[in-house]
Amino acid sequence: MTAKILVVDDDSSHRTMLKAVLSAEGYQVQEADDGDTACRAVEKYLFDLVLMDLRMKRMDGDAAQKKIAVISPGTPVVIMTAYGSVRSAVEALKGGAHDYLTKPIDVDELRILVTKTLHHRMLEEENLNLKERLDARFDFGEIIGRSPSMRELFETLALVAPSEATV
Amino acid sequence: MPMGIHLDPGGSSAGDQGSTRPAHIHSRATVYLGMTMAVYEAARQSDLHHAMIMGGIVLALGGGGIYFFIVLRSYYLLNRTLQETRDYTRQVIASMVHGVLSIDTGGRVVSCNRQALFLLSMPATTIDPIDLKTVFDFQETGIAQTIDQGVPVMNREIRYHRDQDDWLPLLLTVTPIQDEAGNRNGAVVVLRDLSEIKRLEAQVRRTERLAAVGRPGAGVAHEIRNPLSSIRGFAYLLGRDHGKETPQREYADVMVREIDRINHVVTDLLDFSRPMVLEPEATMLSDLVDHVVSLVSADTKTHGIDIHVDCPTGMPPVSLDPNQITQALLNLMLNAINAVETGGAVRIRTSVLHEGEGVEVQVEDNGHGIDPEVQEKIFEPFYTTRERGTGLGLAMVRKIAENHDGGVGVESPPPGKRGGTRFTLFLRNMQTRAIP
Repeated sequence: MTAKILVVDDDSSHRTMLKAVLSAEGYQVQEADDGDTACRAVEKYLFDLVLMDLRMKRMDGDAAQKKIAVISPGTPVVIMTAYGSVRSAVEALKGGAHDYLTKPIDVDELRILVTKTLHHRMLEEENLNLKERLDARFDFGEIIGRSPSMRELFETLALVAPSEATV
Repeated sequence: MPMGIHLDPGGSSAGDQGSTRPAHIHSRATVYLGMTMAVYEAARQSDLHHAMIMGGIVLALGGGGIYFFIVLRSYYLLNRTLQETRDYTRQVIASMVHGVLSIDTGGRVVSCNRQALFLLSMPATTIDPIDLKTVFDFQETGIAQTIDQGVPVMNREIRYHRDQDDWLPLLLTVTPIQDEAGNRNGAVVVLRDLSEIKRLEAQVRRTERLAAVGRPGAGVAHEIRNPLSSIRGFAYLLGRDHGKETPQREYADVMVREIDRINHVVTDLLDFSRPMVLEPEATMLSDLVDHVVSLVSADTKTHGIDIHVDCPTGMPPVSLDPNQITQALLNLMLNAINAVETGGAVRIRTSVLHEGEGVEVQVEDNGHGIDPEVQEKIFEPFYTTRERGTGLGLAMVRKIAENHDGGVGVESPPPGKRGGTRFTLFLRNMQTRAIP
């Protein structure tokens, strides 16, 4: 499954460039020209990563990122900043951004960061999924037994169930 | 005393002693003596009169004495009060931070306080009265008008030239002295030293000017870096489609490098124009120098450059912004390292200036030196002789020095040397700013 990335930047050339670079890497890229549009896109679709400019005319990256965190809490947001100052980056990270990049974007750095973030996101999701599945599948509610020894048995069952090993 | 004596006829009398009749003194003879009292009365009157006059005189003398005593006493008290008042006034005037002078109608100084003498750099012990006309231009400053017409001069800024190239900004106030009858007899001249205010004003102006550049600078950064980012990304993409060692790939790489160079300039310019907030703290200069030397040690090792540190460890801590000074010294050191060839030497030396007014750091190299006509320009932003330099390194040093109310100078070759360059960074101690 190809990862879906939302590129948010009010500079259309920059957006085009990012789309070209990320598409060439094999990602599915969607564009948004400001924070407001980005929020609506996040409401509609599930993205694996949002790459967003910090300074935009209608809704800046800081506000949009906070909104996205509410709409889709699991989606990592990477902020791009042109100031190159530590302060703006710290502000972005404090606001809940996953990471940040400084403009002009170093494409190699971008590629590595995207891969890393997606991998992180994938692991997180997988972890969550497994936990859910574990809870759903090994709900031993129908077997009667509350004594400690029975509970120990349920735990052992849950542990060995997913494996192919003979018990 | 005149008096009449009447003798009784039957009796003998002292006056009849020469008579022929045998002296027969009758024992029952009566002598009547009649005296006129007028003379006696007059004498008594005269006595009384005399006594009264004497009494009057004694009384007058006593009263006079008491009066004299009272007058003397009050004179003494008055004198003492006057003396105290005079001393107090003198102390008040002497303790004033402003210079105060009183002059007569001819412009001669009648009295003045220490501060006035200090500001006008005149000796404290002058026998001849100072003629203020030789110090100030009376027409230009308006003192003449104050003396002649009683028009005061209020807060006029003047430049007082102490010598050829040293002048002091002074705030001049001149008010006429008038007696109760309204006669003008001179003027009071008040001098305020404006140099500290001027210095702060200059600092504020400089900060404002830099802030004015810095504010749009942030917006400009965005406007420049966005397109740079696009071009850089596309150049990367274009190069990627071609194999390594192809000219297209090489061109694309050059584009990326050049964009990075532009970005470097933008970054430097932004750093340069960003208003610098001074955060002074007590710093051991020797520690700071050691830190800077350790930062450049990798560079100097690869180029085989000797670094001599001449920095007394016993120096008292100096109040300065350690981050800014580290950057300034680093720039000077890198500059020196660039100027010397392999096997060269760089010397860094620190010294405390007299009375702890500030410190001086000298960075000296034995490199190729700087031409005299270029020396003026090296501190200007964007002036560079290096191919890859942005020309902001030394400009930054100057900015930092001025931020510390100091300065930076260059000598090439240094005095007594045949080649090389010496940069001298002067930093004023922020805490012990001189207040005269």
